[in-house]
Amino acid sequence: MKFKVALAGNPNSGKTTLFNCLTGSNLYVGNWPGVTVEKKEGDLKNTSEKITLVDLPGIYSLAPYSMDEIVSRNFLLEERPDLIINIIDASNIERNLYLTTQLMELDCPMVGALNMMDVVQKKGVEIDVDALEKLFGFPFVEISAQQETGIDDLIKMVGRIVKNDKKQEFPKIFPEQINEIFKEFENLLQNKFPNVLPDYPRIFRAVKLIEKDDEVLSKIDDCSILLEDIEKTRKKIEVFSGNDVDSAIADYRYRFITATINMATRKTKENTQQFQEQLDKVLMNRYAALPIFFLFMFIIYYVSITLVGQVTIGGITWFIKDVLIVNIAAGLGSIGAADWIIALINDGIITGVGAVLTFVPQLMALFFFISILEDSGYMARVAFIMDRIFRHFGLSGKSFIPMVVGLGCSVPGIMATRTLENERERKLTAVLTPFISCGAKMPIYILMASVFFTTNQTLLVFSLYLISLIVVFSSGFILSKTWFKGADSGYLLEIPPFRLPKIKNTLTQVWERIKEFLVRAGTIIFAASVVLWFLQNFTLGFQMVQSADESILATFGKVIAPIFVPLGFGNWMASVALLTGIAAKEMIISTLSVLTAGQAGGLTLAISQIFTPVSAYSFVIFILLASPCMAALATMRKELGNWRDFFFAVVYQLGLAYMISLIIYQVGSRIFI
Amino acid sequence: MFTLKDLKPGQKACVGSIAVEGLMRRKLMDMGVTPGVEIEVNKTAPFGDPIEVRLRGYALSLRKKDAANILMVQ
Repeated sequence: MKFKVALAGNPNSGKTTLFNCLTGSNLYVGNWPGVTVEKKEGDLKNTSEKITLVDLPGIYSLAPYSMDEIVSRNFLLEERPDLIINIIDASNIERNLYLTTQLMELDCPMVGALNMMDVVQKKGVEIDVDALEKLFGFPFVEISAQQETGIDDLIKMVGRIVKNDKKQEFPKIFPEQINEIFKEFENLLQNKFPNVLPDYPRIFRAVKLIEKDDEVLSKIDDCSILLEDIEKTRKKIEVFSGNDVDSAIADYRYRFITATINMATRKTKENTQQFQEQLDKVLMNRYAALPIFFLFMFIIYYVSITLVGQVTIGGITWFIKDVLIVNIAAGLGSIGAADWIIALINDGIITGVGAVLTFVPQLMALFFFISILEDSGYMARVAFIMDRIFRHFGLSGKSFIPMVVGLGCSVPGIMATRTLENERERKLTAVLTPFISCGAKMPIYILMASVFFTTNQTLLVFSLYLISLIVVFSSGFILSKTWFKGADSGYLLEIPPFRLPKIKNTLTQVWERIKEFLVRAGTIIFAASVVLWFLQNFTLGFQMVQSADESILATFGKVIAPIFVPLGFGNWMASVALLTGIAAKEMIISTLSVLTAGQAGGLTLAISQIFTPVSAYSFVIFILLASPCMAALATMRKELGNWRDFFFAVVYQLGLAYMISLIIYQVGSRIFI
Repeated sequence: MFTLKDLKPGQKACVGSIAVEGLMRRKLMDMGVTPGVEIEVNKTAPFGDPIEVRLRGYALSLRKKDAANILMVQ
């Protein structure tokens, strides 16, 4: 028998790290509210039972405010896991147990994983696990997902309870009188409305109906009579508690939690988190906060682009050009391979794939820094700093998080917009995130910078990121007043404590992202390089070309090239590169390499002939702002939820890219001739 | 009568009632802002808004506009 176990808990509780510990698989981890945007599965390791573990998005409650919460709740209600592992950040136990009191109403066996016990011990707090078990009616295990302690105990516990048929007895959280009111309502439901959500857990159904939960009410066909009864019940609760229903229910939950914590935890020493406070004082300083943020970003790009680039690019290029290509040509030549095969392998595959691989060390450095930013807790602080600014542009500080993720790749960036509660802000952020340059676009900037702007490479790349920020803000301002008009949802964000990123997690993340990059290099880019080579070496009559101008590709490129003449890159090779870039942005550079392979002087010389400094800048601006790759487009379509918004977004992104490049080229070429 | 917005960094008080409307009201309660809970103001963001407060052992940030609708008692 195969069991299904759900891992549920608050954002920032270390859920994904625990999931990795429990399954041994590598997943995306980050230290800000809402990293896990989709549920992920893995098999529980080190156990004789067959147990599938499902990682749910981090949620604060079972109320359906954001898509994350709806995803988690629907899973728990509809798929009915055999057990819930409730991960609790024990260093923030009071707020974390709030979700626990709601999960208990789902009528499903539970195990509590008290995470971050190392932090708790440092703070001088002791937790009495047996007392907690008595008070909550289900067992708890002390763990630290980061230090990997207590994991085996947790696995053993899960294996034991998942087989056990004996029902856990959860305590009553609400006062006796309130429970009476619930019971009365519950009886009424069964007698008067037997068809209302009969499969839902009893208490959950009663509480959610009384709360007038929109999701639950929307599942009932005609609830006008039921609503009358709900109102009567709400009156009773209001009279008893002296509060409105919403605050009464939340208040009773927290009262229960406060009472249990007082009984089950003990402070052994006074602790002040001086280091945290000092660090916060500096990083969030009134005057220094923004400069410090930009300094961080500048250092990140300086180290990954300039420093790492200086060390690695020369070596890799030498290896590909002078070692690999030369030896393959010699080796294949000696066994009598046809010239066109050697050309296909060298000029097509190795040149195309190699052009992308050259930048792997730089991307690794970039991903390394982004991952540290994410895990340290700095990101939530930047959202906090930025909220005031973002608000003026129709966004909230929370919109900043998807955008920073988008620095790595737009796909997870767009997916991270799901943590935004407000539909308007969510869609707007999803449309704006692709304007933030993703890692795959970076090689193009570096290449152009190394050809035309040798002395100011970092500065050039940095200017692109500044332009993308300006575009994000001005587009946010315009779109929030036109296409995506509406009320703002407000801002409420947990500020997690600073945490030293665990090196293993950081490396895992870097590897996950680089792996995706390498897989693409080995699949899409490999295949596309082969296809490109053929299209470039054969004429429409399927004859080997004499000069590159006669090829199928050139013929096609020349048809679309005129569109880009006003932008300064009406060359057919540049046009073809832009088209192939739709498949994956790395293809732009591979395409240029394949198309110019075999020419004397190589890619650099060829590029300096195709472009001028101004048209090169206009070209990278177009790449920066024009619609993203296919994968990101598909994600954007999914998150926007309809074709209308999607087409608008694509037209907007393309139109804006065209306009800005046009202005840059037309103005620039008159100034710098 | 004073609100959470009136508190200076370092000052603390208890929540009396929450006059915030709609979704934000329920979100605040889920995050532990319920009548009677003690809240301390940590700091104001560099640009003057939002504010960061400490309650139930963790840090939460919210806008001044919402803080102005959270009535406090000593």
